[in-house]
Amino acid sequence: MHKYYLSLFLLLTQFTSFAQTVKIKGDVTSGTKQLSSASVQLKTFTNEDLICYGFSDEEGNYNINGQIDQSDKFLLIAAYIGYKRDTLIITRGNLLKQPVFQHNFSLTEDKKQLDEIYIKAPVPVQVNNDTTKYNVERFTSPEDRNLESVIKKMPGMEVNKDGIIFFKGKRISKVLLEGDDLTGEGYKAITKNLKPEFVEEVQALEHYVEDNLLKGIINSDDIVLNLKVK
Amino acid sequence: MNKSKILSILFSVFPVVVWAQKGTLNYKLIQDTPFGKNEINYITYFNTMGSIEFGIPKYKINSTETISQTETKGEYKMVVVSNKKLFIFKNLAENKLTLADELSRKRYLISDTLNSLKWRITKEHQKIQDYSCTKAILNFRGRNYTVWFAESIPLSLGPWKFGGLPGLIIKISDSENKFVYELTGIDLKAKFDDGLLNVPQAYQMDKPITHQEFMNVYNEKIEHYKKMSRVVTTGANGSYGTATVILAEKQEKF
Repeated sequence: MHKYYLSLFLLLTQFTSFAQTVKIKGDVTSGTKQLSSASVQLKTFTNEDLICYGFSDEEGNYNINGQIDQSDKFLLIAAYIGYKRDTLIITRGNLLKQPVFQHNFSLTEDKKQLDEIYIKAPVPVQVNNDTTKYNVERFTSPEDRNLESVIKKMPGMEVNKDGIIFFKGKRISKVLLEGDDLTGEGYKAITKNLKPEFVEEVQALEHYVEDNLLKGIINSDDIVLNLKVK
Repeated sequence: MNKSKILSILFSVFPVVVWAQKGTLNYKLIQDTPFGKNEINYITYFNTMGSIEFGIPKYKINSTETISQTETKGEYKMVVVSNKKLFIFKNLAENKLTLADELSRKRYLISDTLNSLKWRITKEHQKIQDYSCTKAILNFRGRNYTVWFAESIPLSLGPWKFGGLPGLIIKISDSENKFVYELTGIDLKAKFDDGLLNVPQAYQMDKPITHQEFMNVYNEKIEHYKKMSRVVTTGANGSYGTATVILAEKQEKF
């Protein structure tokens, strides 16, 4: 029975040493300015697992608390958009020395970050000499079941009842898959069956010459489509 | 007057512009409805005080027209245009969430709680749209959501009522994939009037109701429709049938 109590006691003490509550507070500023809604996170040093997080209020003050595990080193990170993120490494001892750990962050501006984050949706159509590139995703809507219905929506393209594709009013002779001619004239097999989500780009190539060596030597009026797969 | 004086006057007139957190976000919602998949695009304007989200209409409609009819393959689709735009306004400064929702063409002003979402952040990471994202899960009003947020963008924003994570929400979907939101654009150099971040003028006379009150109105309406669908109507030429109302599922179940 005594043994049982001992193991229970050990188990309980283990638990208490595992989970310990920490409180951290301070402020986030830049120069004389207080930064509101900056994110402050506490992470473990080794795996960068998030322990707890919070945001600074209008006066730039933050106040976070959470339960830490047995790790001996932690990271306290402050981030604000347009500013360099600041990381502080804290040892377990330092973090638990006082009931509330205090740290004030002073961030510096990072103009470059704004340019890096900027996302621009890809251009739907790109014309380069005799190559016209269409971004398939921009023309696809959820109800499109095959590539043909997407091609119908591309400016300059037409598809008739028999599945024959016309580009700028001229009949397309072949549909290539990554530059390879698999079907010849019977390209319907591709355009009617291929799902649009597998294709990244549809390229219309005018004056197409199959043999690269003859390019520029012989004239051709052939138009082919090339499919760039994702 | 010497040069330094002119310079100092110039500087006092045109203060050095410091970049403040401001910009726009674009989200795309793919909704799985009984009529098929429906795509809606949203734009969110944000600054340090909060954010406001509007839907982007699919077709441009003349603002003077009140009711327009568009013919699609013999079917008539009625488009009712109201000057009351649907919106979701997150007021971080006052910690308030105000939004407008629609129920059989009537628009309601609703006040809800902000950032009461109980996120559980996991240790899973994945690259989505070139951002290394962290996975978090959430149970909110009857649905289980999986969200991917990018810590490298320290904005606690997201689509719809979502937000309050230590990074921008890149993708969020519910377990049935009925509501899938995805980030389609960020512009941190967008220029707009800060006055936009307010409850729109058209709602000035409306008194906000709570979310619970709105759900009560919604459930009453559903009961009403259920009763109506059992009524057999007889047409002028002697034909008869029952009325069926098909409604898209609400994102919140309660």
